Amino acid sequence: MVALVVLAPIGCGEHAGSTAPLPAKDSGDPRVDRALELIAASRPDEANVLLEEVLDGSPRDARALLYAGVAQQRAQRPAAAIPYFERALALEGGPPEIDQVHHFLGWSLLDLGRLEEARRAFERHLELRPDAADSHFAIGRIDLEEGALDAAAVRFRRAIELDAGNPRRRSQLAKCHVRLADVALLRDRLDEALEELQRAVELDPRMHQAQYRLHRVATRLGREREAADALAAYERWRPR
Amino acid sequence: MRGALAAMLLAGVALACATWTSCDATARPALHLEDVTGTIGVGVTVVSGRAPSSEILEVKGGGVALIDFDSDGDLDVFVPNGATLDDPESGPGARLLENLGGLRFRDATEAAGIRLRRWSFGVAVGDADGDGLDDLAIACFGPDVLLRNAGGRFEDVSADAGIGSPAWGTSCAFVDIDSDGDLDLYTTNFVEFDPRRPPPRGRYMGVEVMAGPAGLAPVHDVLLENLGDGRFRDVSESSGCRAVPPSTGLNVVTLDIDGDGRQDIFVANDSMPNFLFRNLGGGRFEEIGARAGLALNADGAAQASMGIAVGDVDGNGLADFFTTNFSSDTNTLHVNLDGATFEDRTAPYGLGIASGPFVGWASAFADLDHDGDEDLLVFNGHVYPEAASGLLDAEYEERPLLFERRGPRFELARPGSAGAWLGARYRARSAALGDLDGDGDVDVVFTELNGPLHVLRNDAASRAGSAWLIVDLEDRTGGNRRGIGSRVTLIAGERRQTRWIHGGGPFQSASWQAAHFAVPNPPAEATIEIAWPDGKPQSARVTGWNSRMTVSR
Repeated sequence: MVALVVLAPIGCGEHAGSTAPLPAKDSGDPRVDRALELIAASRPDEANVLLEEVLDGSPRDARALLYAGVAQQRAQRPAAAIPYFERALALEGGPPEIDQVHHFLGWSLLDLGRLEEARRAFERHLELRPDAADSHFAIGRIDLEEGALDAAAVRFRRAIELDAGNPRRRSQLAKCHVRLADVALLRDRLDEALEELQRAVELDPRMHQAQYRLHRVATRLGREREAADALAAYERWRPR
Repeated sequence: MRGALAAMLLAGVALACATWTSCDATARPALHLEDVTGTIGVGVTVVSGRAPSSEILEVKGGGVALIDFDSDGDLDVFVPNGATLDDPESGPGARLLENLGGLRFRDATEAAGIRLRRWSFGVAVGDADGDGLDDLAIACFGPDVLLRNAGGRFEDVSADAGIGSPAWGTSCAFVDIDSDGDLDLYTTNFVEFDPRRPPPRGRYMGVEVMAGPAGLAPVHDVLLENLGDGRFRDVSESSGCRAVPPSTGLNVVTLDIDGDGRQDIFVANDSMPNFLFRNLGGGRFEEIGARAGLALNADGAAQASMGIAVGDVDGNGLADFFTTNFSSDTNTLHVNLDGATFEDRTAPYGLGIASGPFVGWASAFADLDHDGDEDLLVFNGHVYPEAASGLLDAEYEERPLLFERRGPRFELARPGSAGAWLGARYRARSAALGDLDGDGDVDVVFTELNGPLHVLRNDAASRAGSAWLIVDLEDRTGGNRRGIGSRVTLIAGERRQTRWIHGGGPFQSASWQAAHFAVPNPPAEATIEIAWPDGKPQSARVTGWNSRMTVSR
C-alpha cells in the first residue's frame, strides 16, 4: 500500500519546490520514514540529520537520496539539493518513485535560475509520468519567464485538466488560475484576469498572493467593493 | 597517452567554441566591458567595518559618485568611504579621484580639501548653492554632510547649511520638490544602531547570523528644502513625508513619475513596503506606494529593496523601476502602465528566476552594447559571511548579472561572456555609470565591501558601428543647473528612446547627469524632446551623431 504524504504548499511564488505528492513506501528503514514525516511537518533540517545517518551507512539508498534532496529543497537550499538528486539518478534500478527525482531536481534548478536544465528535468519527468500536473505547471512557469505566453497558458490549462475535481489539489489548481491571470494581465485582458483570480480565491481563499492580485485587478477595473474584500482577505492571510 | 589527453582537451575546446561562439578574440561580442582597475593609476579600498562583517552597520558598503568637480569636462570619482565599529567617526577617509583622461586618475583628496572621515554611505551630486559648481551631499552614520564645491576645493558647510541629520543615513538624492529652481534634498535613513551595544545575533534559514534589520527600530527619512542659497530647512513633517511609519530606507530616486510636472520620490525600503511620495504641489506629498502598486511585488510581498534602476522598458515614455532584493527572492520589475499604476512584470521580461540566489545591490539600465535599447546591470554580494550555496542558498561573493535586451525581453549574459569581470565573484555594493573616457559609451565604476573600487571600460562606441549621442542639459533659470528630474526623449525615425536625469542612483550612488543614446542606422535628422523638472517641454534638433550636445533654457 502506498501512503501519500502531501508536502505543504509553498505559495504562489512556488519557491523551493513543488506541491507534488511524495509517495512514501515502507522503506525498510524507520529513519527514512521518520525523515519523510519531518519533511511533511516542515522540519527539513531534522529530516536531513536522519537521512545523512542513513546515507553514511548506505550511500546508494535511493530513497534516502531523494528525500535528502527534498529536505534541502524545502529548507530553501536548492544548490545543496541538486547533488542528492543527481546521485539518485545515477543509480541503476532505483525504487518506483525514482522518476519523481526529475521533478524535484527541476524545481531546484529553477530556483537557481537554470531554466533550460530545469525544463529538461521536467520534460523527462513527463516522459515517465505524462499526467504529472506539477511538471506541466513548472514548465508553464519557465515559459512565462521566457515570455512564451501561449505556451505557458497551454501548460497551466493542462495542469488544471489533470487536477480538476481532486479535492486534495485545490491549492495547486488555484496557483494555475493565478498564473493564467498573470498571462491575461500581460495581454491587458483585465476581465479575463479577474475571472481567473476569482476562481483561484474560490479554490483557496487563504492564498494571499491571489487575493492581492485580485485586489489590484479589481481596483483597476473600478470594482471597489471586490477590491476592498480582496484586500481584507489578503491582509488576513498574508504572513506576518 | 599524453597525445590522447591533448586530443581530448582540444575536442573539448572545439565543443566549447561551438557552444559559446566567442573563442575568436578578434570577434568580440558587442556587449563587452574590460576591467581596467589595475591600470587607472590609483587604488582605492572601500572600508566598511571588519572583514568578515559581524554587524549590520558593516554590510551596506560605501557609495560612489561621478562628479566633474574641477569643471574640466570629464567625470571624476568620489568615494565617501566607511569606517569601523570601534571608531565610526574616524575611518580612512573619503577619496576623490581626478580624471586625467585615458582612464587614468590621480588622488586629489587632499588637494581638494576633503577631510571627511565619518562612516559614510550614500552620496548625491548637485549644485546646492546655485553657484554653477556641483556639490556633494553625503548620507552618514552620524550627522550627514554637505561638501560645497568652491572651485575645485571643497568646504564642509554642513552646519551653516542646516545639514546634519544624526540618524544612520544610507542614500540621498537632490530633487526640486517645489519647482522653485533650486535643489532640495531627500535622505533615506535605515535603523537605530549603536555600535557600543550591538543587538544579539539572530538566525536566518537555521543559521546564526548578525542581527537586523528585523528587531531594530526603523527611522524616518528626512526631506530638506533649499532656501535658495544653499541653506536648508527640514520639511519632513510639513511636506507629508513623515505621514508614514518609520522605515528601513536604503535607496531613493527622484523624478516626475506621473508626468504632472512635479517631482516625485520613490524610496526603496528593506523588508517593508516601498514608498512612492506623489508630489501634490505646494511642497506637499502623499504616499501612494500601495495604491500605485510599487510598495509590494505581484504576490503582495514586501521585499528587501536595495538597488533601483530607472528605464523605459516598454517604450511608453513612462519611467519603470527595477529593484534588487535579497536571495531566495527575485528582483522586481515594476512597469509603469499609465503614470499612476505599476504592475510587476518581472517574469515575462526574463528578470525573475535568474536572480534567486543573489543578494542584489546597485542596478542600472544603460545601452551598453549600442544596439539601440537599454541593457540591465546588477551587482551582487551576500550580507552574511556565513553564506554558502549549501548553507544559505547563496554564496558570500557573487557574480554580477548582466541582462542584454533582446527584442521584448532581457536575456541573461553568460558568466564571462561580456568580460572576465562578469564571471568573477565580488562583495559588490554600489555603482555609478558614465562616460569616463569621453569616447561616447557608458563605463562603470563599482565598489566592493572591504574591497577595491573597480572600473569597467566600455568600448562599444568604437566597436558597435551605431551612432551615439550624449545630451547634457543646462538650466540657467535656477540652481538645478543640470536639470535633475528631467526627461529626455530621442526621436530618430520611428524610434523613440527615453531617459531620465533623475536624482538618486543605482545604490547609495550618483551616476552622471546626462542622457546617453545609441542609434543603429541613424537617420539624417532626429529630435530631442525635453520635459524639464517643472514639466515644461522643449525640443531641439540633433546637431550631429557621435557627439555630445547641450540643450539649454
